[in-house]
Amino acid sequence: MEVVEDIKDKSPRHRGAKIIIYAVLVFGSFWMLLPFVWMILTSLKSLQEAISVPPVWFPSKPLWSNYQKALSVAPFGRYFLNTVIVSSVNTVLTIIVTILAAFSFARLKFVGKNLLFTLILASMMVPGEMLIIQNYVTVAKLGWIDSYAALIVPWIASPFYIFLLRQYFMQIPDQLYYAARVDGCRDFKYLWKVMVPNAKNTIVTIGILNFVASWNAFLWPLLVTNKERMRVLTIGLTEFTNEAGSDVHLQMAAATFIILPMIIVYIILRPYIIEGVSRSGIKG
Amino acid sequence: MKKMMLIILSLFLLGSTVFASGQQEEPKKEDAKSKEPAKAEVVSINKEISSPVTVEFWHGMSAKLGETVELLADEFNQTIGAEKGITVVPVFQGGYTDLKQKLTASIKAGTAPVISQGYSNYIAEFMQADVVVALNDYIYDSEVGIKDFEDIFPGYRAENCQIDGKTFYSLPFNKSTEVIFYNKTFFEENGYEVPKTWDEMSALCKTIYEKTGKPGMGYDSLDNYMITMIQQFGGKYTDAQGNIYYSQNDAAVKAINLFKENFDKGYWRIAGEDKYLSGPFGNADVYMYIGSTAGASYVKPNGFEWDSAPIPYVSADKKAAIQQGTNVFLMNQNKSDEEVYAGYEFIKYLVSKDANFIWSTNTGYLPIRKSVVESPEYKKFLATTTDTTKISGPAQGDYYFYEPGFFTPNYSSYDVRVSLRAAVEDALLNGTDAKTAVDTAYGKLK
Repeated sequence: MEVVEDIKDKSPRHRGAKIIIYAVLVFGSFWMLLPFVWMILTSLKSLQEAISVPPVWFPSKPLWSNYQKALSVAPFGRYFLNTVIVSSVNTVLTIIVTILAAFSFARLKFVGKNLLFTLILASMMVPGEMLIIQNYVTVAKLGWIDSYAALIVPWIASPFYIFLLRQYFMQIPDQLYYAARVDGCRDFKYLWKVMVPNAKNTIVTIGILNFVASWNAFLWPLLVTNKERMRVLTIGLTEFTNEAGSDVHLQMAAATFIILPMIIVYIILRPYIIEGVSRSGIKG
Repeated sequence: MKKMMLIILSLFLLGSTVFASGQQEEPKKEDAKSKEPAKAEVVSINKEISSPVTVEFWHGMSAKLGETVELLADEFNQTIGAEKGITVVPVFQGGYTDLKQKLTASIKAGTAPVISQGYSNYIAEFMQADVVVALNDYIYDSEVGIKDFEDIFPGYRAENCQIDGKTFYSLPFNKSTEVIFYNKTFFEENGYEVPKTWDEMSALCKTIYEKTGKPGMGYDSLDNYMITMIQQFGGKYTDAQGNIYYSQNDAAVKAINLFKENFDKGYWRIAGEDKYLSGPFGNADVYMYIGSTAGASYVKPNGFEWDSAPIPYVSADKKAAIQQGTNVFLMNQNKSDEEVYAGYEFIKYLVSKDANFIWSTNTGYLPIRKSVVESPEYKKFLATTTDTTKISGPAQGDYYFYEPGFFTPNYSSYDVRVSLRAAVEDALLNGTDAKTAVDTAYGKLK
């Protein structure tokens, strides 16, 4: 970004550089868009067109009825509602837990702080697949199968987000903290009035990453639900595939429908995402 | 400029969402845990339901298939179920891999359902947890047994009692086999006959290639090709105890060489990234392919008619066609005898002539009973459908063989199947000598 802004003078050499930069960006965005456009185009094709080789770009006649067909395969309305509830509540709780934990590890002094933080970091090394069965056993013993609690609670503490936010909190100078304390500001107030507003972008980034992860989660929601009324959108997508083949055109129609809210979230929160992502140094 | 970056980054994030939601889980290698196989539990069977029971049936049948499962459950609940006080609730658990994972987790947590669908290697694995119910006491009971059990095709019965040849741990449910799908229009225009032997197949594919420059035949599942051809060349593949024989005879090598000869010359082809040849077949990029009868609804011919026929054989006395698909089994983890009995009544219904007729005429799966195939209703149904695999599939009923399903500390039957695919791919794509490819694949399992 800086490189582009630095190019202030209009000399041909710089103009050339600008053209190259734009060309790269256009090329990059084309590739990024491709799967998305392909998804929408496929969602309007017949199965024949969708699986033909060489691929057909445009449907001979757009089949809007694919959407109707796809959505009638499973109770997508209910799945949609569940997904919205689970992703939103999960994200709010995750943010609260992350802020409190990150603040403790960044600012407070208590016995075993480093050990605890090391343990949290160490848990990042354990692949999620290894924990999933044990987590399922725990949730089943709690009697939480087919409940929102099972879908939400196990995911509200994330070591990665805690680590991310702690690193950001640690950059805020100590002096600010001591000055606030001298002025009679308590820890909690300091956290809400100073730390959180400062870390707004990082927190929004965490929220978005978490929302997307929650929206796309598949295996866990499948494990902890048996009743149709508790299931989420991603489970609906498996309805289009079986051992002998898949109805890709319908699957893409359902996928388009499922992704739509994500697009809206991105459009609304775009400025925060980019700043948050570029500042915290994580990409993608 | 900033805006541009913003848009691009947003798109990037979006792109990753698209991929993430469209992803299918790859079948994972079964985790290997060693335990002695559980002994068949001796159940003194209960045949009474004192108060109404509800049991779950976990399955991996999506869309139309799932609807048919619901239909069968409703039918059962309204008739036998209503009479005996049994309600069956079908629960869709995603694809087979998802279903398997969920079963594994639920068995650990002690919440396994009474009835589930599953491949025989899943059942072998769950038997180690001592939760699978032996069915003989039910099947052969004088009151509640299955009277016309012998009517079920022998290949299906053999699969479901493969451990010792007599104890049944499951019953056949959604069954398919492999047949040749061929371009009927093209065959008629050129006066070709559908090949009966592999020699005829190679010769015809040569003719087709010389005429059109396109491969004559493709095979969807190279694993199935290998397992079938080992059988047809008179070799032995594996057994239910997990012994592997394919490296001890030359059948696997012959099978690979047959494919390789035809593949190298362009007469035969394999499936692309999409795993299935129904696409290229529909576009007339290949004129025949061998694939699952369950895939017939994905054949969408672009301006021609298709038909199907039994797969070729090496010699008429060693015909063999794989029967595949899953079975249904019962589990008794934290369940009462009454619940297990309720489960039995439902799977007994599923394999009954009535239910199997509904199942095999509403889905792409095949009848498991001779009486269904021979019934006037089925013949009437055949007149209404374009899916000729409903004829060519059961035509192979007398020489169906099954792939043993097992689970050992080092490998499962699934791993063995994958090893053979690796061997044939190694020979076809890297030009490795067939014998070396087989030995390498076998060596990796040990």
